[in-house]
Amino acid sequence: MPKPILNPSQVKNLTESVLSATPKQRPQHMDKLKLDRLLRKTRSKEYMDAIHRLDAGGRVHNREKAEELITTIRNELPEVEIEDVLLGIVAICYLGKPYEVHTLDVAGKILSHYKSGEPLPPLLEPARGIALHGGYDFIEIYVDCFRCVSSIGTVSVIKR
Amino acid sequence: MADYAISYANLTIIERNLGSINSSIELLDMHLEAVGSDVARIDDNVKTVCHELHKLAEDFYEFAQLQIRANAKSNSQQRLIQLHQEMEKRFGHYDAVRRMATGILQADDLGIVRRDTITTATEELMLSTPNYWLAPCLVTLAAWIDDQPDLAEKALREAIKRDDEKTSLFFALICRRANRKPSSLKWAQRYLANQDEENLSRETIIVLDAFACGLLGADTEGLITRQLNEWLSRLTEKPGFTEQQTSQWIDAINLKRKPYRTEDYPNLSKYSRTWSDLESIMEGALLHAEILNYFTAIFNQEMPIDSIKAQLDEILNSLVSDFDEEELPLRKEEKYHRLVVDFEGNVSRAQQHMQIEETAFEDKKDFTQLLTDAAMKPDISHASVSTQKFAIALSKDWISTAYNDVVAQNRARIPYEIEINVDSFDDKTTDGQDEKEILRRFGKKNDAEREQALSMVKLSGSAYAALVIGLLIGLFGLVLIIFGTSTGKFLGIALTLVGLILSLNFFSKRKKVSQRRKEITAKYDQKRKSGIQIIRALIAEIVDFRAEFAEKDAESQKVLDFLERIRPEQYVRKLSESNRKIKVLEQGGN
Repeated sequence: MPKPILNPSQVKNLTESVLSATPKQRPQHMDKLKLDRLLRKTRSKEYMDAIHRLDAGGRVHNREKAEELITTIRNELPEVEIEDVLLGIVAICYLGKPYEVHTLDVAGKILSHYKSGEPLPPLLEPARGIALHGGYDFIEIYVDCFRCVSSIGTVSVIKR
Repeated sequence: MADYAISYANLTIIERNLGSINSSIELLDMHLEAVGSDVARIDDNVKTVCHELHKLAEDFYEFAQLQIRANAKSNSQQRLIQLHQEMEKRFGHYDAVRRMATGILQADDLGIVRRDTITTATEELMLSTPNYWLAPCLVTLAAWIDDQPDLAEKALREAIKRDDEKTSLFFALICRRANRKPSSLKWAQRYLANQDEENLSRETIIVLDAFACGLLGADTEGLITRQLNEWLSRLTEKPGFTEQQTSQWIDAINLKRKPYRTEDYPNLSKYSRTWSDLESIMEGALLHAEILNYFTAIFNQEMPIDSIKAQLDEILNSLVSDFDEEELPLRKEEKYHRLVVDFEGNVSRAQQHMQIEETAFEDKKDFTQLLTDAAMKPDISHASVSTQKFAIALSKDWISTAYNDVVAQNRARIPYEIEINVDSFDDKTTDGQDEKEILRRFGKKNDAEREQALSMVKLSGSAYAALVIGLLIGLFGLVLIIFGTSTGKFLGIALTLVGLILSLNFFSKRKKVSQRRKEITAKYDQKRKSGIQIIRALIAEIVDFRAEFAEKDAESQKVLDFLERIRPEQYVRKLSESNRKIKVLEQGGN
C-alpha cells in the first residue's frame, strides 16, 4: 500500500477517484485544439517550484498541501477547467528508499508516495516508466495524453 | 505314497507359481520401465520435433521472405527500366528545350551565336513540342534578344496561356539574370499574387531558393518577405496549425531512424523477451546523433560561391526540369520502385517510406509543408542547401516542439522492468540492484524443479511388493529348511532361492534408481551453475544497456541546443513569441 500522506481511509479515495474519473463524460468547455495549445504552454517557475516542494525535506503533506497544489495548477492554467482534463501527476519521489514515485490525484485531492514495485492506480501506472527513466521533472496525466514537463518547464506530449 | 504325492505335487505347483509370480512381477516392472523410458523418449522426441519444426518454419518463412523480396526487387528493377523508357519516349524531346533555356542565355552572354540561329532553333522547338509551356517562353526570349517586341509579346501570351505560374517565375528569374530588377519584381509579384499559402504550387520552392540564396534584388526580397510573413501569420492563426506542424515534423524526423543492430548484448537479446522493446528505444535514442549530424552537415556546408548568373542558371534549370506535372505520376512511381530496390525488395518499408515522402510529390501543399519538405527531403523537393538552412531556421520552433515529442514518445516506451527468461525461469528487474534476490529465486526454482524431477525417479510399489514377497518366501523357506522334513527342506531351499532372487532384484533396481537420481542432481547442479552465470551476465548487460541508453538519449539535448543556437538573424528574425518575421540579408556583390 502507498504510504498514506493523509489518514489511511483517504488512501482508498485515490484509487477509487482515479478509477472512477469520468472526465470524458463532462461537457467540454473549450475547443480541443485551443485546449491543446494552452496545455502546451511552458510551465512557470512558481508551478515547477510547487511540484518540487512535494517531498522537499521529507515534509509531511496534508490535504491543504494537495489542495494548494491544485490551486497552483488552476492559477497556472486559468483558462482551463483543470479538474475536467487533468487526472493526476506522477513524479520521482526523493524521500529515499523504499519510496520511488509520488502522485497527485486531482479528483481525489490526495498525495501519495509509492514504494518500488508497488502498483500505482491503473490510470497513472503507465506513466511510471517515463517518470522514473524519462529525465522529466514530472508527468501530467490527461485523458488522451501524457504531458512530460522538463526542468525548464517545456512540455512534450505523448498521445495515448 | 502320501509323502511322495504331497512332496511332488506341492513342490511343482509352488515352484511354478512362485516362478510365475516372480517372472510376472519382473515382466510388469520391465514393461513399466519400458513404458516410462518410452514416454520420456517420446517426450524428448516431441520436443525435438517441435524445435525442428519451429526452426523449419522459421527457415521457410525466412526463405519465403527472401524469395518474395528478391521477386519484388527484380520487378521494381524491370519497372524502373520501363519507366525510364516511357519517360524518354513521352518527355525525352523536352530535354532539348530545357537545355536550350540556359544555352540561349549563355550564348547571348558570350555573343558567339548569331541571333538568327537562336531564333530558328527556338521556332523549330516550338513546332516539335506542342503544348509545352517552355517552347513559347524560349521563342519570347529569342525574340527579345533579337529585338522583335511584337513576336515576343505574342509568344509570351501563348506561354502564359499554357502555364501562367511557371512562365511568371521563368521571366522573373530571366529578368533578374539580365539585371532588370523592376521587371523581375513585376513578374515575381504576378507569380505570388496567384498563390494561396494553403495550396502552393510545387515550384514555389524556386522562389524560396532564389530568396534563400540572396539572388533576388532588395525590392523583390522585400516583396517576398512581406508575402512570406503574411502566409506565416495567417497559417499560425489557423486552428490546429501547430498540431499539424508538429505532426509533420515528427514524421519527417522519424524518417531518419535507422535499424539498430548490435552484438553488444548477447545475453539480453537471447534471454529477455523485453529485447524487442529495448532495441526499439535504442533505435530511437540513436536517432539523436543521426539528426544532429544531419543538421550539422547542412549548416556546415559552404554557401555556393558561383556567380549570381551561374546560380540563377541552376535554379532556371531546376524550374524547367523538375516541376512538370505531366511527369509527376511517373516520377512518383519511379521514386517508389527506387525505394523498393534500395530496401532490397522490402515492399512494406518502401511503402512506409513513400507514404511520408509523398508530400514532396503533391501538386499543391501549404507553405509550412513546403518548408518541411525543403528541410528534410531536399532531393525530391529540389531544395538547395541555402533553402534547407532557411527552412530549418524558419521552422526551428516547430522542429523543437516536434523533437521534444519524438524524444518523449521514445522515452515512454522505456520498460519499467526488464524481463529475465532463462530456460523455465521467468523474472524481471528494473536496474539489476536486486541481483541477489533474483539469484535466490532462481536457486529456489531450480531446487523445486530438481525435487520434482527426483520425485519422478523412485522405486515403484511393485518393486517393494516383490521385496516383501521375496522376504516372506525366503523366510518361509528358511523355516521349512530348519523345521521341515526332508521333502520340506528341499522345498525350503527352493523357496529361499526364489526369495533371494526377488530380494536381489529389488536391490539391483534400487541401485539403478540411485544412479539416476545422482545424474538428475548433477544435471540440476550444472543448470544452477550455468543459470547463475547467465543471470549475472544478463543483469550486467541490463545495467550497461540502461547506461548506454541514458547516454545516447541525453544527446537529444544536443539537437535541441543546436536548434536553439541557430541564429534566426541568418535568415529569419523572430520579433515576438507568436509572430515570426523574416529578415532580409543583402547578397554581397553583384
